Amino acid sequence: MEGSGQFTEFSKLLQELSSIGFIILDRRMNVIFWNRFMELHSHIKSNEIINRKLTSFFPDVNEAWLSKKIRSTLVLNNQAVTSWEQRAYLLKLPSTQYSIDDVDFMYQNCTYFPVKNSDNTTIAVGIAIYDVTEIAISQRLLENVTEQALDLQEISTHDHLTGLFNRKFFSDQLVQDVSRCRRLDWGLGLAMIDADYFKQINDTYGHQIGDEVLKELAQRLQRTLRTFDSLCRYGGEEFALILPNVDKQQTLMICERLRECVNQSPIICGQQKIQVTVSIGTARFEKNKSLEEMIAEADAALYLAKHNGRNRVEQHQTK
Amino acid sequence: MVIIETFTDYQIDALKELANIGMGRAGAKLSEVFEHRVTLNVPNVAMVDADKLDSLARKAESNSPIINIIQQAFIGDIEGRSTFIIGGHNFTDLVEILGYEESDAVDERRQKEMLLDISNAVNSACLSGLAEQLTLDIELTNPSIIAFNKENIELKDFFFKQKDQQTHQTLLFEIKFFIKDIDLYCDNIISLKISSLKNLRVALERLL
Repeated sequence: MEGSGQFTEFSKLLQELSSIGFIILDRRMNVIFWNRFMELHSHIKSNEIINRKLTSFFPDVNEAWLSKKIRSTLVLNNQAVTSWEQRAYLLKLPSTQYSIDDVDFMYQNCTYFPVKNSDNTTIAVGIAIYDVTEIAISQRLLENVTEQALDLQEISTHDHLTGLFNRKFFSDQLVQDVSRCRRLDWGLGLAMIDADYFKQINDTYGHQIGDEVLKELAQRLQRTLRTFDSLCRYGGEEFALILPNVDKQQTLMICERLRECVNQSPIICGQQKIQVTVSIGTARFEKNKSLEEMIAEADAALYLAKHNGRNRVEQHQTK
Repeated sequence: MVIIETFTDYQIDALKELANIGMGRAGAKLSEVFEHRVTLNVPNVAMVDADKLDSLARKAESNSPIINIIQQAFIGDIEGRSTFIIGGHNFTDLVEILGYEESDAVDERRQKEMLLDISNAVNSACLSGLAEQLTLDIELTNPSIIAFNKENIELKDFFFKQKDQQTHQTLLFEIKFFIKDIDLYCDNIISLKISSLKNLRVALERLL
């Protein structure tokens, strides 16, 4: 028969194909074709497995699932795929990647497709198996690297103890926010916030409790703010705050709210109830004023707040 | 310039009729695969604004607060994509009809695989049902999940965006898929590329 002769030619070609695994299963999941790739990677010779049930050689395949897949391909006459992302492999084959020592199997993408005879009826299901170990490993490496990069970014912009932005971030952010507010003709407020008598807390309760208090303090302040305000840990118990798009009155109002959210109830650390207050000094951005001048003004206002009795907000007064 | 194809009411009715015949055959095949009685019907075939598609899809499954959406493009004589929408649930019903193991119902990777599986099966059946009726050659590409266990309300913007479409009208088949036995109801929306409308009309005129 001419047709079957052609099929033999093709099947010989597929048989020799060693870069893609190629299997044909009949409806009872018996192997009727097993190419060289499969022989090489599974160490099972074609003549050993032909006419035998696939799952008798690969007991960890979920038989119910595979038979459903075969049946569905036969009935629907369609193609289906499985991807390593959901199913690492269809058949457990050893990995050939010598360079990667923690991978001991081959990641596989598989395509399932109907195999038709000469009068176009579907008689069997072909499965093509692609070795995607390298892709899977690169993907995994990429994920790890991305995670590390994100961690690094977190470390470089955030304060480890409080989770707030750090001083370096503050300097960069202030430059950005000032130029944005200048462009849009918005006001910008700056506040320096300092916990009162914090040395006493450390001395009385120890540094561990001191750290806990700082954390809680940072959280209270952060919760009171808008998302585009930048609260940063400036140093020890000192915080710096950038308030874009606010006027003088609003700056004072926000800072008063911050002072009150700390003042209203003591911070609870284990058995201890610790009353903490903050002093706040504010300054505003004005044209022809440098960032350093603005920070110095806020610092001076903070000094004034301390001098005037603490637990209060003072604004820088232009003379 | 894009020439916008239109269909007469008569043609739309004919398409709906053909689609329903196709779905009848598709339903029979799917019943055999899933070993449950599958019902498919086409309540709506219509020209719609491409940018209205998302609201349609949301309406489709609006009674489920969590939904999954799987999309598959098809290529060939007519091209477009098929969007399969299935309500969020516990996956135990899918385990049964797709031949998975019970423990797979709580494994996220297996859940995703089940969504891809069911979408691929239903889409293949529906599209080959349509293709047979219209004697067109169409092939599905691989499915991809574009929303997995998403809150229905979150789906405002992102999933029906098409890069090449502005406010043109396109043809859409709304298909209901359900297996009453296990209370599984899904929606399938087939939308055609505007550039394929001409081929569809030619195929239709050949039949009428």
